Amino acid sequence: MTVAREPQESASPGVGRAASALLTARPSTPGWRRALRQLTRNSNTLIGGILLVLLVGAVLAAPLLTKYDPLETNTRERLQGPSIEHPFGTDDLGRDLWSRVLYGGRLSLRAGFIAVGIAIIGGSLIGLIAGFYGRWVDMLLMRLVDVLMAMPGILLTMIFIFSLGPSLTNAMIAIGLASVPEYARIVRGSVLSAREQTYVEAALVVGVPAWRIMGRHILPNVVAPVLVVATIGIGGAILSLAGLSFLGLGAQPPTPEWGVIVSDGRARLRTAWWITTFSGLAIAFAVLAINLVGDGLRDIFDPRLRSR
Amino acid sequence: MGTYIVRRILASFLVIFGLITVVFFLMRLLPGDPVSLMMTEFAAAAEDMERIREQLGLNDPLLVQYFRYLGNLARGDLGESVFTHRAVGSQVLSQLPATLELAVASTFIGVVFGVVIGIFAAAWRDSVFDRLSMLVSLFFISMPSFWVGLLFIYIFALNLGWFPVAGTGGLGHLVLPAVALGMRPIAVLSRVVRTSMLEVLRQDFVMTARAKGVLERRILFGHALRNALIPVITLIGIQFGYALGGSVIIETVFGRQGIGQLAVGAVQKHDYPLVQGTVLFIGIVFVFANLIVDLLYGVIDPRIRYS
Repeated sequence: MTVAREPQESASPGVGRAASALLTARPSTPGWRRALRQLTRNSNTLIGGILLVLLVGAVLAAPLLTKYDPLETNTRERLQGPSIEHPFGTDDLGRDLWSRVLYGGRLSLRAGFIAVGIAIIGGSLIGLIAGFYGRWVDMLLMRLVDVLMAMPGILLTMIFIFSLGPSLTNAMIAIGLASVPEYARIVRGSVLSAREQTYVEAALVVGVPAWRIMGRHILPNVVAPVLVVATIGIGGAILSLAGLSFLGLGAQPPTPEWGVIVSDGRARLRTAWWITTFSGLAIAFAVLAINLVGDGLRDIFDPRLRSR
Repeated sequence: MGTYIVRRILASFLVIFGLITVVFFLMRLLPGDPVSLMMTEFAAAAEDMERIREQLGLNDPLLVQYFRYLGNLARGDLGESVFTHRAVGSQVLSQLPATLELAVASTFIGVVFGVVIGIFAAAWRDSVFDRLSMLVSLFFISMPSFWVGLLFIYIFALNLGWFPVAGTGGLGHLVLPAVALGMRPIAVLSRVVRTSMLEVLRQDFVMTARAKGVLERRILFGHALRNALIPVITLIGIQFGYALGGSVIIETVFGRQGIGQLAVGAVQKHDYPLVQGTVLFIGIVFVFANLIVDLLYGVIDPRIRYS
């Protein structure tokens, strides 16, 4: 990290102060090395990180970990319990569940990232505009955000699904769009506090264009709170997607999405408990790992929100 | 206090009006033609689809549709279900009690157990109970509610036979779904209460009470708890909203005839007026629940009502 030199005293102290502010301005996020050290010191976060690495590794290495195709049916081996050959058993079409859960993990993780990505892009745009321009623009946008957040998220998601039609892709888009208000609020809050900083005032005074101020000076301050919420948001998106698929409003059979597998197992709960159990455990495992990492990030970036 | 109540009630009505407007425009401006989606199952002819569009008034200019919608709402007319031809309003009202009962019961379970666990986790900080309860709460925050519901059905209904598997009825039908839906609020609230209690227990007035020799039990329940519960009150509103949204899934798992299940069925069948009516209704209930929580907040914390 470079140390800024003190500027020379000038005849115009105001410009001197402005220049000094611009030179010494840095976003307030910690160094990445320090952040990583803090992350690994927190045992919960370390466990979450290890679980996440295991999960992502297993999901990426699916072709090496299973010889079965997740969509391949085999009626001779239907409804078999867990065994060496089929660690998670088979479903009523004889499909290997270990393979379906592994490949389903790819779908869920990807969908979680994309949904949160959509929410971040949409939310950041609205939040930046509302926070930076203020006044009636801010009032209008934030009242709209308030109204959208006035209903449970799943309802907003269902409106989008209703219009777009049920599918994995539409569910991803719907979950992302339904989360836009939440990110808009976070980004707006960060923009409002960043806007009050001297270095932003200085940049405005010397005539830096608005888009440049937003991109170079304000956006870096927004990264930290958004990163924390986004990490936990991926877990939330995975849960929402599984819920929608369980209801038949997201991924459709025979797609091996975790919610679809839980739904498949529902009718066979008494005789084939393994179908619902292992797919549900996979969801819980993934979301737990992500939540543990998210908790750790929150402890680093905002000590006020620390859980201990 | 009077001004505070009036201001909050007015704000809630504004939000409800905003909700009505946003739901209306979202459903009409999003891409996709609901009428053709509705009619795909019947392989309907173009003339039939056009007739349905006329019936639903979807060919009229948007503003005309909007003011007609507002006028109908003012008369309590939420339209008619395309499939059952029953008035949406009466369908929603007949199934609302089952949802309210579930949402209230699960929030109550969440609050009672969450607060109790949170208090003792804070009082016995770093003990086995503390660490275990916080770990278990993390698990429950991560578990999908529909999966918890199915596990409960497997263990307590199918195997032990203590409760019915599905349906709406008396208390017996409410226990499993309410507990399944309440697990996440228990987990969230226990963590928040614990953090809040730890903050309060660090305050000077607690140190003074201890120095005076006040019993730890009295400090916990008489002094610390009242202050620690203030942020929890806000969370109750959020948890109730979670319960309302969660009822959509839990009602499907347990076959309860509530408006959550009605909404899901409406989306699956693309029943336009029913989707609009149920979403609006649940949203309005949520706004009122938050209003009650805000008013309660004003009663408990005088700083709020005078700000």
